[in-house]
This record gives sequence, C-alpha cells and structure tokens, in this order.
Amino acid sequence: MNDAQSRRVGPLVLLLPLLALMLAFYLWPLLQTVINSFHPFELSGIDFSRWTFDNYARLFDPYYASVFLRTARISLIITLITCALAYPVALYIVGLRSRLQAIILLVYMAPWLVNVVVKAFGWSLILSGNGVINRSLRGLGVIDAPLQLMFNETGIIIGLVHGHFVFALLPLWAALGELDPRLKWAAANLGASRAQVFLKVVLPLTLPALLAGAFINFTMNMAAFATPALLGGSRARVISFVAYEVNLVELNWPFGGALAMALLVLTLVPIWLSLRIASGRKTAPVEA
Amino acid sequence: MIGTEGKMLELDGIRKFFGPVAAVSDISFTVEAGEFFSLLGPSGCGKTTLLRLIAGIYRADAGSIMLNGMPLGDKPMSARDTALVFQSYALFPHLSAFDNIAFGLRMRRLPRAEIARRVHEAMELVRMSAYAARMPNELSGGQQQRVALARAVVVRPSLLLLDEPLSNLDAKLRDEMRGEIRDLQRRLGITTILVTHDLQEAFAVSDRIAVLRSGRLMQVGTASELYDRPASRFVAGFVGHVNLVSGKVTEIRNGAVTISCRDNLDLEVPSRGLPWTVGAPAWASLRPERLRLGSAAAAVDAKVVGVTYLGSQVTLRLDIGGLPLRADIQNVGQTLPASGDAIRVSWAPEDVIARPGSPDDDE
Repeated sequence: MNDAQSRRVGPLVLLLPLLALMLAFYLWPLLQTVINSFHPFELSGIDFSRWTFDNYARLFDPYYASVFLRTARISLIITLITCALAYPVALYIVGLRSRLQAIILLVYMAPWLVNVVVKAFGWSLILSGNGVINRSLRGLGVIDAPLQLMFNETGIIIGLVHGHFVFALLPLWAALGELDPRLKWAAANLGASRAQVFLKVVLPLTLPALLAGAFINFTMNMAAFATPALLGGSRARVISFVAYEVNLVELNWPFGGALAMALLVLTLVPIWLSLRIASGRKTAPVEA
Repeated sequence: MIGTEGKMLELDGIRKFFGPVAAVSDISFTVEAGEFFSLLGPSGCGKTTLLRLIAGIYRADAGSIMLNGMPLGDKPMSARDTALVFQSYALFPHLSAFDNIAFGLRMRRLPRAEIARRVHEAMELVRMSAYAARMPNELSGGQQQRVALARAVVVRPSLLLLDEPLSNLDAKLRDEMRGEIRDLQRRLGITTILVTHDLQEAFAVSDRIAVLRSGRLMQVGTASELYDRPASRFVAGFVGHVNLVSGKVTEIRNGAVTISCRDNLDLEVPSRGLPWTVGAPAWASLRPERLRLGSAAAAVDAKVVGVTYLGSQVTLRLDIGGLPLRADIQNVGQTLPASGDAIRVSWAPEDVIARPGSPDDDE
C-alpha cells in the first residue's frame, strides 16, 4: 500500500465503529420497516408470503391525507412564525458585545436543553383552561369563558415555536455576524436609506441562512412527536402521533411502516431543497 | 480640470475618540475643488478614521466639516454627497458588476434608461464593459477595483474618497491603477481624497499631501514642499531617508546659520526665517542623494565603511569623524569607491534641512 492509499484508508478505519453501529441499529431496522410496508397485515400478523402496495394506497384515504396536510400546515405556520420572530432577535444579538451575545444565545438554547415532556408540562400550566393565562385574563375581565390554548393546533404551534426557535436563530446569527459592515456602509454611502440597506443588502445576503434555518425548523416540526402528542392531544393529531398509534397500539407494522416512509420522504425533500439552495448561491454560473 | 474655483471641503478642529483614545485630534485643512488631496501616514495614524468621518460612517466628537460650503453636521451617510471606495472594495457579492455600479443610481430613483446609459458610460471609463454580467467573485482584484471605482464615480459625487484603494493589488498592477486613477480624476475633475501609507503613491498622484501621525496633522503641502522643506523630523524621515545630525547653533550671520555637530563638522545653512538662538540645540538632515563625492572647496573628509550595489544606484555608508552618514550616488560608470577608501564629500547648503530645537521635540 502506498502513502496516498494509506492516507485514504486511515480515516475509514476510524469511521468503522460508528458505521457498524449505524448499520446494525439504524439502517437495518429502517430497511426492515421498508420491507414490512410492502407486505399485507393480517390478524395473525404480517404475511411475508405476499407483496402489496395496499399500505401505501391507504395513505390517500381522506383521514390519513388530512392528517398529513394538517401536519404540513402546522409545521409551515410554526416555521413562518419562527423565522419572523428569529430575524429581529438575530439582528439585535449581533449588535451586542460578544460576551453578551454568548449569554443571550445560551438563554435561547436553554429550552432545547430541557426534556420535551417537562417543557410540555410547563406549557400546560400556562395554557390550560385553569392556567396562568386564562386565570389572568378572567381576573382582568377580558374573557368570560377560558380560551382553548391547548389540546388543539394552537397548543402545538406555541410549544414548537418555543421548542425549535434556536434552530432558525443560530444560522441567522452566524450569517449576520459574518456580514462585512463595510457592505452596509457602502450601500448607505451610495444613498441607501436604513430600510434600503436592509432590503437590498442585508436580507439578500442572509437569505441562504434564513432558508437553511427555515428548512431545518420545518423538518423538525414535521417529525416532532412528544410536544404535539402532549399539547395537541387527540383532537389535533399529527402524522408522527398517528404513526405511533398504528405501530404501537394497533401493532400494524406494515401500515405503520408506510406512514413512517411517507413522513421520511416529506422531511427529506426540504433538506434536499435547502442543500440545493445553499450550494446554488455559492456557485453562480460563469459566463465566457 | 473643471471648477477649480473655491473650497470643496473644509475641516475645522476635527476630533474623534474611540473610548478614551483620541483617534484624531484637532485636524483642520481645506481641500480645493478639483484637487487630488492625499492623507499620508503610517498605519494607526488616523487617516482612515478621518476619511470615515468625512463620509459619515463615524460622527466627530468635536469640530466641523463643510462640503461645498454646507456643514455636514448630523447629515446621515446617505445624504452626504461623497462616494467612498473601500480598501476591500466592498462590492455587493450578490449583485453583478452592472448591478453594483447601478446601485447608487437606483437609490437615487433615476429613470431606467438613464441608469443603463450612465452605468455603461462608467464601465467604459474603467474599461470593464465586457464584464457587466460577472459576479464579483468571478473578477480579479484589479477588475474588482475598477468596478468599485466605477460604482463610486457613476453617482457624480462632489467628493471621491479612496481608502487605500491599491494596497490589495500586486506591485505591477498597483503602478498601472495608480496612473489610471489619476487620469480618471483629471478627466472627471472630481475632488478626491486618497488615504494611503505609501509615500510613492501619494507623491505620484497628489496635488497636495497631508502627513498624519498618531491622529495629528504634521504638515500639509506639495510633494516637493514635504520633501525639501519638512516641518519636522518625523515628516523629513517619513518622506524619505535622512541623515540626521544634531548640534548647537554657534553663529547667526546675514541669512545663514552655523550649526556645530560634534567637534569637527560645522554645517552652514540658510536661516529661512526660523527662530534660531545662538547656543540653542538644532538639528539638520541631509538627503543621501544630495551628497556629492569629490574635492569641492567645502568638502569634508570621509571614510567609506560599506558599499551596497543596487544597479543604477550605489549606496555608501560613510564615517565622517565618527558620524555615520549614508550617500546614494548614481552609477554612471565612474570608478566606484571601495570599502575602506578615504574620500571627500560635499553638499550644497540649500540642500540641508535644518530646524532649531532637539530632533526629538516633534510636536
């Protein structure tokens, strides 16, 4: 083996343990799920002797289609709210001294460090019919009947905007921090107002980061399980919750596998799109 | 040049602090319309700060800036009639060369046809017409420089501000761009302020130069004024190599002063109306290229300590009674002195730069 070859093989050897772990406990079960999803489910169990597309056809059943649509709609609403809230926060943070920046980022990261079940319980203390918000509003005489703030889509949106906020914030913070202040000065020097500096220079240059954060946030919203289950309950079922019921309550692994595959594809598309956007920005076509 | 009448820019008592540190203090000067004015100084002297104060990126803590007779005061950056070219060019990376140059005109809401016409004009001016559709990252350093220049002049500013525009280019390109910038400035008659630490650059392009040091203005003048009549030892040393000697004033007689340096060297120099006092310290400097070899009447004995051969020029290290001096002589085919030779050196009294005071007394 020559030197160049050994240099290529070295890192591979170091990757082997993780690779083996992933193969055994991730890729193999995933593959099994795919295989299951193409077999019919009988009362006696999975019939491995026959192949079928029925499980996938059932995804288009109005009930499951509506769950998919609801999940996508909720995820999109959460992403839009999160991006609209994260941009001003990122702008504010990059204007601070670096020590203060670190502290504030830690504050925004803190929710991610807390167990989702604990967070959901915290939210239910605030959002429930007898929670802080409803009691305060009733006390002030603003409302007569309690607002329905959880066990519906509102609860999921509130919980996930809070829970996944930092994933939209961090890429924006990094991009805004890297932005050369001279570009802003150059724009102002050429006659741009503050609003124009933002719209013509800052926003276009941080758009890839905004989109990257948005796509990460969206895929996490799509795949979220605990928060929608605890704050959305059975009235606002999302696809991950339905997949859980089918797999672990009905024990219908073939259809559960089809649900899981559909969810996987739906979350991979935005990831693939975000990679396309990120790389497309850097390599603009070269003209002769 | 167009419109050479009147003052374009007046700075009066400008002062700017960053925290407790004064970046510039008590800066006052005037730039005439159509003039090419340079701010020259070592890094950290406050020249870029001064430029940014004029552009409005920073606000002065004291003093006033007048542009075209109007105080700039609290005018925001976007309302100042200046165009700044950054050292790093600061081209908008998401916009093509064309869109970069059009940016200022679009902010001024000019009609689309006029924008296109003026952008093409500006691109022709910097010979970049073929690159209109290129993105900044597809342009070389010199091309980016041209686009940055076009982006600034296309808005027809009253004042063009250049912040070390050539320092990121290699030596050959730098010489070329230096000439182009000067030509462009002459053709457009645009009043221009150039910030640079490069003496040659400032000398080559400027009508007048302001020398800055540690945030203070040391001297303003033409290149030859700075070179031949520096107001201080710092300026003398900054604008060229000097042989510095210090001594005492021993005689003042009809327009000439005699300064005794060490025990065996008396320099007789024109008094130039400076406040000399007999017995007071004084310093003098001799440019190495103004020393002449040979046996003129006023020559002194010197010993050659070292010879550095540089082709068209030869640098000699001399010892005049314990005083080290450098002499630069033209290599015109004469027999060159060798190390250890005893020779005679002379100079014209007018070529000696002399000032009363100790050489370290720079204000």
